[in-house]
Amino acid sequence: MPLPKRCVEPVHVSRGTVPERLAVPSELEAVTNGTLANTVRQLSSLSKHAEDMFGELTREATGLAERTNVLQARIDRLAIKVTQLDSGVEEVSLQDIQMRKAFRSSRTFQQQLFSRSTMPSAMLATYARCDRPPPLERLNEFRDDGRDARKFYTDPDYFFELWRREMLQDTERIQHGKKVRPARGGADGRAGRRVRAPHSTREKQKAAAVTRGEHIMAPSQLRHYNIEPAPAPAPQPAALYRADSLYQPTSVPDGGYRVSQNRQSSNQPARPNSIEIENQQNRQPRITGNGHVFSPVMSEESPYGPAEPIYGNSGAGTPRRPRPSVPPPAPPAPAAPPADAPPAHTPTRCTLPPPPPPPDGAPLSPPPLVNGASPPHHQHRSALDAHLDHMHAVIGMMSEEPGTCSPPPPPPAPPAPPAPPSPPAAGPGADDRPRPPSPGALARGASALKPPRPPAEPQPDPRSDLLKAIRDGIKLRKVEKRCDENTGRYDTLRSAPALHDVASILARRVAVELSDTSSGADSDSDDSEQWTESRA
Amino acid sequence: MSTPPRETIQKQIQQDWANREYIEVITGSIKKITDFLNSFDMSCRSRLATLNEKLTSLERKIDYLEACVTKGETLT
Repeated sequence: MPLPKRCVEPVHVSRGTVPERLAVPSELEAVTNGTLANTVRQLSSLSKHAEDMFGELTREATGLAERTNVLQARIDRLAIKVTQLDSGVEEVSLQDIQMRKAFRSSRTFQQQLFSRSTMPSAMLATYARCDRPPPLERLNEFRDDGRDARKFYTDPDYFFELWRREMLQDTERIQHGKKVRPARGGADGRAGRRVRAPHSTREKQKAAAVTRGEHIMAPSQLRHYNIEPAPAPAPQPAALYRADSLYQPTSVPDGGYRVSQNRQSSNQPARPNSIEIENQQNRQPRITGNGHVFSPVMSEESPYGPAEPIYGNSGAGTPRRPRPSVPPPAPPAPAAPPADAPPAHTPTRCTLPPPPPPPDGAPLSPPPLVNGASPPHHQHRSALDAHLDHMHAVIGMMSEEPGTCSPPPPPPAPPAPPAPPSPPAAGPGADDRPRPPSPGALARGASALKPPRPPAEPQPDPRSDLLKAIRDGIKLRKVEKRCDENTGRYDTLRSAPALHDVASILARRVAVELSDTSSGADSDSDDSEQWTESRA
Repeated sequence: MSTPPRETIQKQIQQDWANREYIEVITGSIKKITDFLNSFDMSCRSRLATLNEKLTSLERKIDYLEACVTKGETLT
């Protein structure tokens, strides 16, 4: 039902203008006079509404002008500050960067936009003419469950409560699902992980070649030149490779492909690299030849048959020079499985204009033999480190100052970063092989961790620096008190504590969902981390 | 009750029509004023809303820039 915001009254100017009780000499004149009087009433009502309207506009414009002035002042201050910035003079210590608090926007969400307080005054006047609800709140004292009796009659917060409950339950469910997920994605969770789809840049490169003015023959034209385009790719291995990572084609030293079923023994990320090597190897005679020579072995056996026509096309169209538009391998490959194959292919790789990160020159790190064994070992080692660090910190503190009343260790006491403080254990192992492949290495690492280390003197720990600074009387910044601010702001809105207003509920929801995706990104970055480590 | 003369009635009716025409002009003017006020209100509100939007985005940008150039100790 549309509600008119402003109503100019009286609506009917001529009704009821003839007085009934007293006789008038001329009814026509009476009607005219009454109509004129009502018209004047309409004018007055209109002027009242106009005044109200102009008042609202003026308030709004004044608010905007104030904000603009404040913004102008801020811009001026900012301009002065920016001109004073000099990166050559300022010194930025690592401590400052570490202790710097994250940026938090001070902007507030506007909420409760359609409440009684934001109702325009004209509509409020209309609203005030409504009948009040019956005084059911007087029955509150006779209720046992303590609920407001009037809310059974009318409840403006009903839908908000409904929404709030739903959102909170949703958030709880997401959080619960997050708790369950790490148990599933344990050591063997890798098997169910989604395999990254091979990133084919063939079409892109083809388009780029066309825009550069080169001519790429269609397969029909190739047939005209007695060139058989590559047959349709053996669909099963490729499809299976995309569907799950059970089929891992790996290159073998004889230059062919084999589809290995055993996932453990094959190195998964070696695929694109071997493709590239294979293509280079099989392309070489084509490039130097007349461009019509094909290696049938390749086109028959390769599960990546679709890669062939473009090479065939390029070889046929511009046979004398290598096509610069070789699709780079989609994921960087850590290592090629056969140790002798890559050096044989490296010279041909040098002709590639977009050079992929060459993993061949570096000493090949052995593929992780046991895929699921490395991360648990890593976690175990870090947990051990954290525990040892904590114990050493406690022991060192007790032995250093037994008599004096030492300040307590930092209360959250997060375990010190596990990587730096374990030079004897992880030093040689991490340099040679980033991930010790066998459980024997785990035992070695654990045994190397056994002898108690001197408690944290050798490495400069910023936390101990901070502790020392606290003892010396450094002035710490105060913790931001956001809760007070929030409660101070929202207490006008029906005494809304935390999680009772839209902004905090939405913020919590967004935080939960973001942490959810970030955990997923962590698992992905784990992969890339493995790659970079093994490639280095 | 004697009926008034015919001329008198005609005169009264003519006068009444003249009055009605006058009232019609007044009410038409009131309608015009109302239309103008409504359109003025809408136009002003839409412009102010656009301005408010721009101002808000500017404020956010300035927030970000201030946080960029501000050192940690003065960050509120």
